[in-house]
Amino acid sequence: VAATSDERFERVYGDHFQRVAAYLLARSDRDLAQDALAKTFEIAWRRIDDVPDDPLPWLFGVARKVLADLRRSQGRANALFARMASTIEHHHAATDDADAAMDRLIALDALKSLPELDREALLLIAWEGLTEKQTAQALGCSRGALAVRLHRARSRLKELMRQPVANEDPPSAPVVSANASRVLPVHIFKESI
Amino acid sequence: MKQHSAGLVRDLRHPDADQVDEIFSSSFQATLLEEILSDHGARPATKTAKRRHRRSFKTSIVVGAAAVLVTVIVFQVVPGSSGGPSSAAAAVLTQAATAAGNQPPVLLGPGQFLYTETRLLQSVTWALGDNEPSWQFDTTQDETIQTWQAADGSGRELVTYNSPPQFTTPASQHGWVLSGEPSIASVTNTPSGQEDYTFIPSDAPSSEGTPGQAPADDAGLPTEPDSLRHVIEHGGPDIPPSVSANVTDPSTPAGTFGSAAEILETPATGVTPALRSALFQVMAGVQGVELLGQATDRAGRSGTEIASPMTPFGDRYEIIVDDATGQILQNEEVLVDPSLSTPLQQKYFGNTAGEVEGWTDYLSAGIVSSTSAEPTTPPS
Repeated sequence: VAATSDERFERVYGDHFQRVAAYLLARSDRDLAQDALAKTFEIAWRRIDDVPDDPLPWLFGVARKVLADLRRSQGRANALFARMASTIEHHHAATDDADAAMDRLIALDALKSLPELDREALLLIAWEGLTEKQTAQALGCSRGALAVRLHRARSRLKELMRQPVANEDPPSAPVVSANASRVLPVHIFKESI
Repeated sequence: MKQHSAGLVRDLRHPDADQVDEIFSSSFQATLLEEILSDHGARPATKTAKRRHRRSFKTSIVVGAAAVLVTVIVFQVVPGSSGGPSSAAAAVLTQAATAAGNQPPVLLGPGQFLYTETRLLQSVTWALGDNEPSWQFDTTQDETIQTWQAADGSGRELVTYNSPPQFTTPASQHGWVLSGEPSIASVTNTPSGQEDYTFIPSDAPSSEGTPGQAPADDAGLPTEPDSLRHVIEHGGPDIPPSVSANVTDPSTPAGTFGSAAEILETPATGVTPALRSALFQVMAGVQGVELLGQATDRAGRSGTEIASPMTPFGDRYEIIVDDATGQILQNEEVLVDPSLSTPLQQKYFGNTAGEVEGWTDYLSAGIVSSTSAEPTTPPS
């Protein structure tokens, strides 16, 4: 017996709530994530007949756009990089040695330099564990176009992370200030050590 | 560097993402589910683009959530096969590779903008109304889009409407009537009825304006055709398995053709003569390309028309290439076999063989020094 729309939605909701919530929490604070979560699943419910058999890429694609719309309507900045900086500051600072700290800063700066869709392609794979096919579905592009995005993103990342720094000595000060919402631009950081 | 970049990227994920249960309790999850299921009205209006035309700025602004489904339907690539490459078509594409290889590189310096002007049939999917299930309909509109993009993401986009919106099918018009005949006119912001947006650098605070997006940088793409095709079909050659564990289904020939054409058409820096040439060589090697002959685009420019193999959804790309410069003048998406269309495609976008589902004319491109300037030389 075919499931009703409500039954199918409940299954989609139950199976994927955690993943969509995690996606949003990696990119926004709790309040915005909560709004985006509600909006994403509201859209999924209203369009349940259109939700593909593999709902997750579709849900991520919706969540990404919902988050962007909410940010615009609420005049809020993209919190992605602030969240990354916070991760470095609060969760790696205690264990990182100087090299590791610098590596993370360089990685963050490299990610900032990528076009948004290239970066999102990389993060959907690295953070959300999507396959390349699923990532292409989430971003609404062909697999070929996705491959190009990923190649660009990875090349750029590698290029930036291979650039020599001015001084190999470790930094003596914290690389992210306690109340910083944005990490120091890496070129400033390099000049300061 | 002690740790691989892929590992570093993974480690930058915020730990809240792993603590969903602590942040959103089971009661929150249950309440939200209950609220959604009990709310059977107030369907939000979503205006979505059917085709992923190259709208570097505006796309990120107006495209709604429902676009995901439609673009996935159109662009999803699954394995398939077709016959060998047409030697005549391959010869034309090889000739285009030579011509494109003689064009100058695209280098974007400080204070400069990458300018592009395209005219296209923009398709919009509307999902409106308080009824259940939602009434949905599709419109198309002939638009000209001019973009100026600086390396820092700042710039401008100007959209000029060349025609009023048209319904794609009688069923779409019926859906509009059932939705209460809402306004489908574009929201313009200039006295002359255009949309004119200005963008600040992509890393500037959004409180200062709307951050834009820098053009793509193609400098890292391989310029050897086999390597380039591999990247297009499978991703980079040195991707660590931990990051890319699931490269399992190579593109279809149509996907390879369309992706190579898309790179040629996309505004980007770092585009070299060698890359352009390699992209055409990749297209020349695609199985099933077909020479259609001399053709004229909507702007009245003549060139040679080449068709891609058919996609798994029954349509194909038909491009017109300038014989002298190797520039792609026009790209159409044409329905060839309606029986392969998805039900949604048939319902909202029509179901007639030969129907042009979308088209884009690439009118001009070049480097300029301000967001009001246009190139004075022919596009390269």
